[in-house]
Amino acid sequence: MLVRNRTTGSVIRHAKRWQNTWSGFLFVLPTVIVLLVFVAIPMGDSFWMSFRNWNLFGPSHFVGTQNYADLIRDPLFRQSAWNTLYFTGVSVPLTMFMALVVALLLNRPLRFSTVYRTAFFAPVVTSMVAVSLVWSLLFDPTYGILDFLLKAVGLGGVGWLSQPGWAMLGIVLVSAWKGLGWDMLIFLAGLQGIPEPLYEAARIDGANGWHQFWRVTWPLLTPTTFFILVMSIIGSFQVFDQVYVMTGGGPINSTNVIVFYIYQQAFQFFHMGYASAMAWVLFAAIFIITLIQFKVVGRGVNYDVS
Amino acid sequence: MKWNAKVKVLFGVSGLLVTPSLSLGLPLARANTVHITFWESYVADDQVPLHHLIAQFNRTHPGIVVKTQYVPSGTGEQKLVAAVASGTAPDVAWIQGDLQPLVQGHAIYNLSKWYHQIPQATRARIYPSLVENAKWQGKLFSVPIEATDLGIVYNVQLFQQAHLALPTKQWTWQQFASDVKRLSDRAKKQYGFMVPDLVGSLAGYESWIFQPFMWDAGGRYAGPKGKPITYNDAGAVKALEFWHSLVTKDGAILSSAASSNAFQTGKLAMYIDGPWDIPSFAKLPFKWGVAWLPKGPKVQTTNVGGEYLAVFRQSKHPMQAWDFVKWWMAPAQETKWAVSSGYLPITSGVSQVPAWKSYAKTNQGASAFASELKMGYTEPGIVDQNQTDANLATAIQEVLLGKASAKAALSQAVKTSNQEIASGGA
Amino acid sequence: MTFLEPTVARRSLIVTTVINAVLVGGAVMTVFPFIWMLSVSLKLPQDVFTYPPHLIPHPFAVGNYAKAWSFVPFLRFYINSFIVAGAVTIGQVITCSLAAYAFARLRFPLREPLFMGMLGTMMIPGQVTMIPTFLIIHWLGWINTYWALIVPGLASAFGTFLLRQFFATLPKELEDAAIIDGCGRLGVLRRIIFPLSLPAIAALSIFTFMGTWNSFLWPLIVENHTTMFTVPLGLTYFQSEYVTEWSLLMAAAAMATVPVLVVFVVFQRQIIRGIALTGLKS
Repeated sequence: MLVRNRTTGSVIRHAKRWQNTWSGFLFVLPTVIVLLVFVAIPMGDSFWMSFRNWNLFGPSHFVGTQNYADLIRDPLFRQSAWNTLYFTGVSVPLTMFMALVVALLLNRPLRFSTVYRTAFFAPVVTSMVAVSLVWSLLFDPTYGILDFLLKAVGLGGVGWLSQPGWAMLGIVLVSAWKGLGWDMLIFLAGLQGIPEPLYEAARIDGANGWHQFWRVTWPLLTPTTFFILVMSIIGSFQVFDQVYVMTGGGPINSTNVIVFYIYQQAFQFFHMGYASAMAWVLFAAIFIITLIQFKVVGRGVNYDVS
Repeated sequence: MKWNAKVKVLFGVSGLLVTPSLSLGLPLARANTVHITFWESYVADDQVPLHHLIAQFNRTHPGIVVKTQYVPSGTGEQKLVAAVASGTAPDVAWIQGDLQPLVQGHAIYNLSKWYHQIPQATRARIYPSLVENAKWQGKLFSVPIEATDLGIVYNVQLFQQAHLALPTKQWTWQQFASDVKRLSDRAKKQYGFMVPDLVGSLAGYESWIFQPFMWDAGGRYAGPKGKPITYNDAGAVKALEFWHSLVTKDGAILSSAASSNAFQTGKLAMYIDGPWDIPSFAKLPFKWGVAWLPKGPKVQTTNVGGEYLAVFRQSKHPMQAWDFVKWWMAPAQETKWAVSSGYLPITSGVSQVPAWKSYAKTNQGASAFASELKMGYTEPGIVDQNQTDANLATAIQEVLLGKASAKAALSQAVKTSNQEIASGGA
Repeated sequence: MTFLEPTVARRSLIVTTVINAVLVGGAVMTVFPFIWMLSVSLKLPQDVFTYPPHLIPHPFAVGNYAKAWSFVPFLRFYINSFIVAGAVTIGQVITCSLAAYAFARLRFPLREPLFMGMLGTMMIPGQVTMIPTFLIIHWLGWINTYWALIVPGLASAFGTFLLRQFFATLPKELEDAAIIDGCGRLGVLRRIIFPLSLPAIAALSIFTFMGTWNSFLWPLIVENHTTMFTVPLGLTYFQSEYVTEWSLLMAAAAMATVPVLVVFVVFQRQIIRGIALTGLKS
């Protein structure tokens, strides 16, 4: 792993290891300091707060593990946890699949590829609040253009955001629409990193497009795919803006996801301690899922191009 | 050690204990000038009249300079929390929503005594519901600077097409429901009424609209001390059943966050709104009017609200801050503010002032909303209201979507709410 | 192309046509809400809501843009946003490259725990850490300054992880050769890894710039003067709890979006140009 040159002596190797250690620490130092001061310490603070009650304006009081005990009995917490899992389970594969398809189609000389790329990326750069408002206009069950178009082709209206069974799919749709450009861009960057000679070699071996994808593209894209998967899951577990603007967690809490519920408890109901406890349960869940991904999926990731 | 120091920095700085040295001092050069920071959340259209008003105060009050700072609504709470926790609260701010945590955290002054500096003649004319809303547990912790209420906005053209008489002030639930039915024509995508169905950050608004219907049927939100929650009484159930029947029997539709503007399409005959939307109706291509909320089985009420200002205990110049608030509440400024911003005046007297009269003449609907203010009813401040409102809004939604009966849904919401209050929150 | 056999040429034409059709369809659907936003931004307030809905404004209310611009000091907001987003982007590319290189290539104690710990910082929702972070900023005396907006953004677990994934795929032989030639680790990163990773660096730059540009709640909390506001805060002037001034809001949203789109169009060329460079490496 370290230095492959077998001719170097052990003294040099030893010196290299020290140099490695020092460079390693120095290189991660800026990142560690910033994350420590502005994220890790506040996180520690919220952990401490999860054992207290705080109404945000007055002093806080120690309550032991009361907040965690209350969580177990809170039906809304269970429902929001389920809603979050459901959202993640649908939106992550959907977005990633569509993004990969688009990226593959765009990863070739095409006449208007800049136009296409910009089009698919446009949703990403618009402010989530503004586009969520636009989507709620489009989705409006009575006056929205989506309803109008569906009726025009003879389909019944769908209560995108107004029916408990549909609302989460509406949120998924908007999230996929917004997230597709991100994933596409990273996939594109990953595809660009695959050396062209590998494709040439595969073509010489007589591989068609389908085989080239499975033999060259897919294995060499695994670092990128793995990255997107891990990040998408971390992000989906914390979906908030769309819900906040479009449904407010309704109808009948069918889109009430964990972070929205945390927000409600913290800033609408003034239970910062309870919100912090929930945030730490969420943290534990995401952390475990991420660890599993590193242990299970991460093993299949192919970093060696040559 | 480091950890302890940090904890102290973070939480030793509770609102009251802040030493002056901690806060960012203002330049000492202008030692005689007192600076007052005022956090407000007026939308763009109201910013110009606001700045005129502030400029006038600063001109007429040498020694005090009021500086406004815009804080987007909906996020004001988070910003206030951070400011109070760090000892950098404004002197005066809009109170968005709940007084309770601010009072319990000793963040704002009890204004009860100061309020008496306002001349008796003025105080007597301020709508009682407005003052009641500004209180917490009987003590005045904020004051109103403008009023709003709820009425029915209707499309005159659709009424005429259906050969219906326009609503009168004394109309009843029955008349209202039969109008809704006559005005609804699903085939033409025309609807008689839109029943509010809002949750999340708009749950408080949903509750605010539901309350007058509940009161009209003899219901009460809570006991006299703001608890226990009672919105499953016969009146509340009747009100919710009435809303439900408007949807199932009379062809009304449910609102959504975006369809608050549905009236502008000209296909919605009636909906519930307040005076704040009047400016956006100015150029509608059809005639419209404003009616009072219809009279229920017991009484006829509306809900009165407005914007309320509070003075923060971290203020270094609370008296000057109060001077500014008091000045705004005086009749001359009230009238000026009302006619330039489109809000309703807080005193009944103002409606006799020529400036308001001529404003009401050119601004259709303003006088209907203003005259309805006297129908305002209010209950004492509800304990943990944001949470009880959220439970109520979800219960209403369950009923409107046909998932539960009014009695069952409201009873469940009341049970949950009272449990939450009893456990002191979560 | 002209030397290709007719059947092959025809087949590739069909494939290209199908691909273009799929892309056009997808792009139109993706852009539609954006188009709707532009359409609303050019309508008179009373024309925003009609049924059936109209896409083309009549008349074109171009004045909405001037009006939105005059209500809110957008010029100042643009300057603030450019300074902040620019500084954060440059800073993050540097810190993330350094850390990513260390995590991808260097062996040092605590490497794995540090990496997982770094990822862990992304797993707590900001709602519960916002107030303590604010208090740290206050303690540092940074309220109402650019520092409050820039410094907390100078590191990114997302960016470090992204670059680590790309650095790890680069062939080690090139580095080894450089190291034997006496090149330090920093030199390797600058002269070999960085140029070979331009697509990833460009992607990170776009993300960081965009994320910082669109950041809303944090600037709102730490800035107490309108002169320090950033562009997204300008959008809030047109929406209160009950009132939304639709056409002005959408005009403002369009104005807020354009600079980020420009940044995207500039940088995405890098992603594609990277092909020539990465092609060299094997």
